[in-house]
Amino acid sequence: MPGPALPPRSAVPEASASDAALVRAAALGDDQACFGIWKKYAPLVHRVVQRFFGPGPERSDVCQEAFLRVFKRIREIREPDALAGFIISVTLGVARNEARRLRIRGIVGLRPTDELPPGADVGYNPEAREEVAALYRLLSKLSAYERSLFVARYVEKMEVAEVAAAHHVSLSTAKRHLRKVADRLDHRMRDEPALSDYVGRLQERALP
Amino acid sequence: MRDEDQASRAAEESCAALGELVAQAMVERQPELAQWRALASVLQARRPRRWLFVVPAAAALVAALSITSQLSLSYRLENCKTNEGNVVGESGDGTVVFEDGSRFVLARGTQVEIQTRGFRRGAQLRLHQGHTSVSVVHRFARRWDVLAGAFDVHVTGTRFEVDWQPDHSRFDVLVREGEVRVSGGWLKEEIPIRAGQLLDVDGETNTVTVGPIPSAAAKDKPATLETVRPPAKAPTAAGSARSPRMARLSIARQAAPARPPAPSEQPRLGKPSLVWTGDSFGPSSVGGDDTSSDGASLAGSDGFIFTTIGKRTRFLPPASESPSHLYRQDAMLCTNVRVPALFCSGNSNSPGLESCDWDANWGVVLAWNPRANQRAWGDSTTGRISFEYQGAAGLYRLVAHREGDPDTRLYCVNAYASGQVVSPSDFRIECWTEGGALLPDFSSVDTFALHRPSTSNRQTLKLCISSVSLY
Repeated sequence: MPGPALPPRSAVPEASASDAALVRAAALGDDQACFGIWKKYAPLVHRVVQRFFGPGPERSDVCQEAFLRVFKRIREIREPDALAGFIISVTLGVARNEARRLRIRGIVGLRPTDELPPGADVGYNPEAREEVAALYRLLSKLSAYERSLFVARYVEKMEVAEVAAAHHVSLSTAKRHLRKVADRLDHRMRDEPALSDYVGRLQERALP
Repeated sequence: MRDEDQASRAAEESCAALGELVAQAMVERQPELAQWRALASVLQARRPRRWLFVVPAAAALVAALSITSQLSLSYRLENCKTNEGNVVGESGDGTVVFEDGSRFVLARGTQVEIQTRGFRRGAQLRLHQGHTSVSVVHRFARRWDVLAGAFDVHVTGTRFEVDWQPDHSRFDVLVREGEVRVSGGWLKEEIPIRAGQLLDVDGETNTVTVGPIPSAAAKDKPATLETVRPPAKAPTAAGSARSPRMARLSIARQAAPARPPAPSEQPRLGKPSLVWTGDSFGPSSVGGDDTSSDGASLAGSDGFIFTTIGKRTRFLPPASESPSHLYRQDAMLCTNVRVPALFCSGNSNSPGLESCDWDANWGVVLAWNPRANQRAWGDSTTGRISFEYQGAAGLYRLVAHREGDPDTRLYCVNAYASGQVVSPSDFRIECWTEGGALLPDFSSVDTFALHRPSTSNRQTLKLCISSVSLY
């Protein structure tokens, strides 16, 4: 019997399947569902990782590790529709671990902690290069946890409750820690004229 | 306090502005497919090695079996021989006698396989072919079954006979005392057969009969299956030579006109001139009644139905238990399959860059060869054809393959509906696109196939074909 004809292109799988369906299938080991999740959420993971680490080489290894952990823990998802939040939480966790590892490597002299590595600064608009570089110099002086809080709350614009859930702390603890991060950044911003000018210009523009 | 709140709010606004700076300054990039490939290979490598657990599990199983086998009912064979695990009745009636007094008497040539249950919980006798008389000594928590093909006779009584002729799809149960329950095979539900009743299942006529044991043949001696039903017909040469994967399709020929009708009289889409229906399908696993031997004038066909699947597709029960992977239900031939979802990689927004595992996962077909020798249909072909089928909602295609063409060169009708009458010009190469070459005629076609393709979702489906009609 000859092999049957191929279906049309319209029959190919899409990443538009609901998160719940993807999660259920991936939990059963369906490779295609894993691919669907990757296809749908890889831009998000790359974005979060890039925003966490700032200008520098692409952190595809961190992204890959984040997805590996997502697929390993996919059965732990209680609400399959909350897949995006779960992925951000895992990604921030992996990014924090990587930041700690880099810091230790810097301490023992394997790589400086506060200098950008050589190479192209991928993924950032060159017009804002100076301000962005100043901001990440500031962030590098925060702990990995504090940087993660900043990225989740002020860059990804997550609700405080979501930030708390993503960092496995209570709501009140998250609020307290966020306030502490904001105070520290605001205080240290004075050491970075490019940043304080940028924020000042923004606030002037916002005045009536 | 108020100053602290204002300072805190100002700090938060500064942070929000910094966050906005990052969000606006960053240029989002689409990850490359190579990253998925790298991830997929790591995922594959990290999958748990289930086989590591197989060895200890198998050892535990062997140990458990060795213990429980010591606790099985023992039996002895009288006038029987063993052949590759089967027990065969020899000259005279062979007998399998269990230690509790239960007896299975095997007619000459009858082949059975005996599997005792652990902890002395009875036994299961698989009747491959032949006739057995059973006398069971019933005990609490002891179960006896006779399996014949796909039929299961569960013993709840004491004395009965079972006859199974797989070559003729003939299955009979005669109960003398007590009761048995029969299920499986072509029976839709479990049937209790009580003392004095006879169950007769004839796969060739698709009939199931339960009635009293005829007494005419047994006035002076107890009725037996040999005395109450006619012997089965001898197998046809064509049927015995056919591959077991192929289900025979016998032909129910309608009254044909004495002469071919003039063109103006020919029905267009009216009543078909020749119909194959599920009512006339032979049993799926064996050759049926070859009534096509005198029907060569129209189709020259003793065609047969068979099913085939992609490498990643799996047959499900009851189809998986049938040699042909087909089974009969409600005058249809059916198969049950699980078709996995397509696995594709690439960018679905860029047609041509995407590749899917079509080769290994193309779905399932129910196919029909018009001629038993799988050659082209020939001059006696027809102008139009239709397939009636039942299956899950979705896309189906009717596919035709011409003799001599490569296996990959197929003509098809896209979105084929059950009963849709089609002519050769409806078939085209790559029917899901525009402009493929048309099928010139049916005479060169050696195979028609109803194709259910794989999709982006996993499918567990039952696909049945009820008739093939020619117009």
